[in-house]
Amino acid sequence: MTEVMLICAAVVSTWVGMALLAMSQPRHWQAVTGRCAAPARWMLGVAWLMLICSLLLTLQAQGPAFGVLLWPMFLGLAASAVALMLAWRPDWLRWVARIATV
Amino acid sequence: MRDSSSLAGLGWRKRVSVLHTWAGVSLGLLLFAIFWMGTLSVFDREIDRWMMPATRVAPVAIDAQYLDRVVVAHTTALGAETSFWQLQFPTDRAPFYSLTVRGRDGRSHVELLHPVSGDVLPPAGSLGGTGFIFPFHANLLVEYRQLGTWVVGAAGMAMLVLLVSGVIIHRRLLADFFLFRPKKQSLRATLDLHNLSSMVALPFHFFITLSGLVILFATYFPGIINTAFPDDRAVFEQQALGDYRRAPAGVPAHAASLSTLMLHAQQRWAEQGAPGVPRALRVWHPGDAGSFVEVRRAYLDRVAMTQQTLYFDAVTGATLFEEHAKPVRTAQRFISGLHFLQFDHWLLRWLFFLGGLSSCVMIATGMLFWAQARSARHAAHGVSGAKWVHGLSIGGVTGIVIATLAFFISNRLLPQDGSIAPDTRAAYEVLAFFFAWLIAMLHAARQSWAQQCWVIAVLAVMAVILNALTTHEYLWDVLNHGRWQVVGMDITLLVGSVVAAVIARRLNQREAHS
Repeated sequence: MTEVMLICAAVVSTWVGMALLAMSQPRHWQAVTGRCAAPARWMLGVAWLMLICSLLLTLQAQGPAFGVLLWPMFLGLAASAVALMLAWRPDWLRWVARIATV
Repeated sequence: MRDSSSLAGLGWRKRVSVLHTWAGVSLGLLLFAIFWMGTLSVFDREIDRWMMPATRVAPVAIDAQYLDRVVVAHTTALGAETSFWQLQFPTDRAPFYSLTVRGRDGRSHVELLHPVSGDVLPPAGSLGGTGFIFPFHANLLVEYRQLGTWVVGAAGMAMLVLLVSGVIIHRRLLADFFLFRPKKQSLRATLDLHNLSSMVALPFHFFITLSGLVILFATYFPGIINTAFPDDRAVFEQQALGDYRRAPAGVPAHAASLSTLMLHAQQRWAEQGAPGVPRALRVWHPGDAGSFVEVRRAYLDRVAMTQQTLYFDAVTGATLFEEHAKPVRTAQRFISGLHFLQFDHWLLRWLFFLGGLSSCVMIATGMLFWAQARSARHAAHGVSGAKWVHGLSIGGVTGIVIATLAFFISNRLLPQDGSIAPDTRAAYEVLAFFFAWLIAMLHAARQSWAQQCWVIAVLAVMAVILNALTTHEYLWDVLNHGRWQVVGMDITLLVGSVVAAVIARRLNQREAHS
């Protein structure tokens, strides 16, 4: 049970990390928020922190052998999910932006 | 004004771009076929269950007594003409015992045994995923002088070159990382999709290609083994692979209980700190005083395909040899394991399936971009190159998908009552695959992705309906019985059908607008 929760936490943190990474770029930040102001610079750092956090969670849940295979697959899945949302449903990323502007 | 060094840099990148373009165009079709079949091979055993309804038995736990109760009786009945036999134990993905018996004439035959009753299951009459789709991926079904293996290896090397050169020529790697603009003109959208599918799954593309090459090190670099072990290949097999062999004594002898040996092996693995179940049990020279038993541990719980093989004297039951994989061997087995995916891990299996699909999208959009970018220019100059590449891309991409579906459909349409010999039936399925591919290739001359996508959408639904009609296992029934392998294949076919229909509709709309 804790294993499933750790994996879920890893997936969510990968996705939030990727979403922040995308929105740290002005083009995507404007597409999501509609604001012309530049995205906060700390977003990039937090994004990387979330991705490293997801690596640690995956390794903790699955051990080194399965962990090192799962993590890059989570990265790819999250990155493509973010890219497809930016293409068709950028408003779905707005809540991440809202947290980032608090 | 640029200085000369940056111009030289530009020239180098341009040259890499030419390499990427031409290696991609000339090998795209081959790479797509290898990656498509490899992606399907992720679920080869599930495809087997779908195509071989007689093997859809409920999984049971491995029972040591099964060996003495069923297998020994079965192999003894085969008589003294047996020189070797191997039993593969059931897993959730292949829930039956598989017995391979080799006669003194060197010929082997395989029988599948029901995991409870021990009855021989009827012959499948199909090559299925493990007999057709996987070998297509590994050697293009060309076994003559390992030619197919070498072609696949060369394509794998080219894939590594394409990945590295692709990263070099991608000008706005980070700036365009998340960029996909489906509403832009189709050339732009194709390139976006090519870049996106390449970049998000880059680690996957890279390690899956590299591991595919590492698996076959003994084929691609035979010189290494010959140099390190110049005199005797058997020494390599014992020291590096952990194989043990001894010759028959020529004196008949009565064998000890195999069930007891299996329990003994499990106890030994537990002592080694890795309790587990056996994957395979092999008996060499059965009935002879020199007979020995080889027990291999299943690697369902780990990535590395290390087997901790134990060898016992078949008569006395004494331990003869224990395999302890050395670090390099373990590393090679780990790299092989992440390619062969023999472990029980559904999440990772699905993620690898998606990774494989993204490789397919990357290759297909790469070829499509080449043809799209040149179609107007080639038409203006009266050159037919772009037209040919475009047609071949359609035939190689949607065409092989159509061929695969024809393979599945023929499996459900050909009679299963034994009126066709099993081998002939299996051959007809392969014939259906290549015939459908040929038709799709010829139709590709019409340059219509949309039409072939509609065909995919229809065929995929047809396969699901035919499975329900011919096996009387309906989607909702199977949900109740928990046979996830067949349900999974049916649902994947339906999802594929919807995706193909959506793509076909969008392509039709685009054509209507332009």
